[in-house]
Amino acid sequence: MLKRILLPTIILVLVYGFWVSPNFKTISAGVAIFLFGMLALEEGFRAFTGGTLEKMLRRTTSSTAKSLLFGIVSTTVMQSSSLVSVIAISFLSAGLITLAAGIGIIFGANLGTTTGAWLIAGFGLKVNIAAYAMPMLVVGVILIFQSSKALKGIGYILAGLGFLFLGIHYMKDGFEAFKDTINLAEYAVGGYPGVLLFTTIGILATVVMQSSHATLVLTITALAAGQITYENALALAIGANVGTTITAILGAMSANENGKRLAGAHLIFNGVTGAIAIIFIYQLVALVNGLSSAIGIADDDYTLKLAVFHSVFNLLGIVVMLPLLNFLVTFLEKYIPEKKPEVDQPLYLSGASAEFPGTAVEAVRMETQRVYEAALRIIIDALGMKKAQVLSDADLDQVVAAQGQIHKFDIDAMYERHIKGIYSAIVAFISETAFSRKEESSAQLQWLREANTHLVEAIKDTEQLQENLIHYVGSENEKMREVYNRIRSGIAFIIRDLEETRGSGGGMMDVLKLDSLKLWVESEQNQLNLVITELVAKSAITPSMGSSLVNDSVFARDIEINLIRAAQVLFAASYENVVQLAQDVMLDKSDVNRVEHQAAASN
Amino acid sequence: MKRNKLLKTLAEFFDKEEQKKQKHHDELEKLLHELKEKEAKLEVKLREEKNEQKRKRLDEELKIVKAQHAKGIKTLQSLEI
Repeated sequence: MLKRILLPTIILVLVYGFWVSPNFKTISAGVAIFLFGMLALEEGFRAFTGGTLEKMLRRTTSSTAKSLLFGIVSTTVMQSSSLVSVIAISFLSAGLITLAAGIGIIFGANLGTTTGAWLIAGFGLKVNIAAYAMPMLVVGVILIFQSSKALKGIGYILAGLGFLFLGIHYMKDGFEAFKDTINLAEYAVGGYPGVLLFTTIGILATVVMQSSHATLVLTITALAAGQITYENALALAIGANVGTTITAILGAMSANENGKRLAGAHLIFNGVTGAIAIIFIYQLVALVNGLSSAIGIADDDYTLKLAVFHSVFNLLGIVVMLPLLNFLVTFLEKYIPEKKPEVDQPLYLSGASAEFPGTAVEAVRMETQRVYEAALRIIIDALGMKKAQVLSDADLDQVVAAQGQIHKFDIDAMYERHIKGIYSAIVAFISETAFSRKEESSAQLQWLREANTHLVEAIKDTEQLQENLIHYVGSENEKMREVYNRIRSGIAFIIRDLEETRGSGGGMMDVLKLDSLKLWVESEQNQLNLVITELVAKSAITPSMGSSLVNDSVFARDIEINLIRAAQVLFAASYENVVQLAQDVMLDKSDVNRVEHQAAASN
Repeated sequence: MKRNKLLKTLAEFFDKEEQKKQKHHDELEKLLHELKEKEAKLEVKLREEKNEQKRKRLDEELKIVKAQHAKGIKTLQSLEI
């Protein structure tokens, strides 16, 4: 219920926000573009999985020291820890690196980003790679249109980076108004309350401006102008460090669980580092003063001392957090669990059941029964019917005629969820069962495997049939509607008969009686062909409709025959030695065709 | 002595195969007998049935049973060779 109203509520709030504030619109567009950039980046990196990039990343992040170094170097070069964090998240989401390596990169990025403070404080310059966003986008999109997988991948990466920068640009633009209103001098407070207050301001300013560099520039300017105290400036730097995690958190929104874990690691690292820095701020100040004197920084050169502080407290964070890396990985894996798709798994195929031929056959039979039941459910749903209707005494022609239309049913998803897991396990179990090649039960296992294959084929055929079924059951053309409803009731009739046979105990004679159903299916298909030819000849339907019908009648026939063959093996397998006997007398397609010709000749 | 033991094991092994084959043969024979009985019942039913549609279904079923019986006979003969 909550899920159902959440999305419309979010959209309504957004629409209201767009209407009230143009700035909000710009910021939201920025977030959207940024997230789109993340998706493109992941898509790009995925193109290189299993190849060079994977090898290179594995080599450069194979140990904690290496991943730390990777983070430091890449952040120093790119001058953006946020960008390195989101790239690490996309690496992790694409399965290119491990979570531990990702955390190492994030730790390194935190130290690498302090070079920015040195650049700002020492030279007053900053590498502005955002200026490359537009060319990246243009070149990226051109490359996406190329047929080569590698070029396409590079294209997605470039376009992704371009969109990331463009998104950040829009977010910054949107927050421009807020930036002008921030006057640090108004909040100058001393002592711990001041530290906490300025840390909070630093966090907010960085979240708002989407750049810890921008906060640092603001801090250094305010410090140089004497608007804030040195301690307040340090607190702002701490806040900027914590606030910068917002970009990674935004980036993780579109990432998988691993990406979210990494964003969590980023937040924890920066939070813990910030907390340590706040608690020991006076000790750190003393340490920075000592270090600054040792490397020849003047006592009143607060801007360079701020850079020293930035490096020292991030280094301290790494020293504290690095020994806890494995604990952090376990913690994140526990609290951000991987969402496992709900897939039906085998219940009876254990190692113990493989030990004896009898138990192995019984286990496979029980699993095949589950596949059979799931297959019937899927086919009935795809026909737009209810199981109760199919199994009732109601006239099936009337039941299908009463429905004006049928809705799309995701057969593929249902197959993946209810059948694939069990079917794969059955195939693997039979292949692994050593005696399957020498014992007599091997034949029974092989027949059961074939029965599963028939069921899977029946589902695939239903998928092929579904599109036209939906289209023509709701069609204006009455004749098309009638023939497709006849196909539906035909399949339902077979299912009803099979279930009745199963309910009656499915003894040997019942199993063999199902051969008459095969004859019914073949003659029904021949009659359908005659009907289709007549309809086309009378121009009641177009030749194109006729060809669709011919194809679909074949799909319907295959569904029915596959279901009957699977049911015969499954029902016979309930009795010892019956499968072999059933195979001795059961009719195959050519036998049924021969009987059908005899029947036609005698009529 | 060793050779005798080996020959005895071999004989038992082939015996087992033979026993299995015989069991299969007997069961199939029994099934064919059941099919013959069913065939006879269907023939009686078909003679007595007046409804044309039901007669058609019975006739089809009879033909199927006859075809199954014929197929079973072939398998039985191959087991006897």
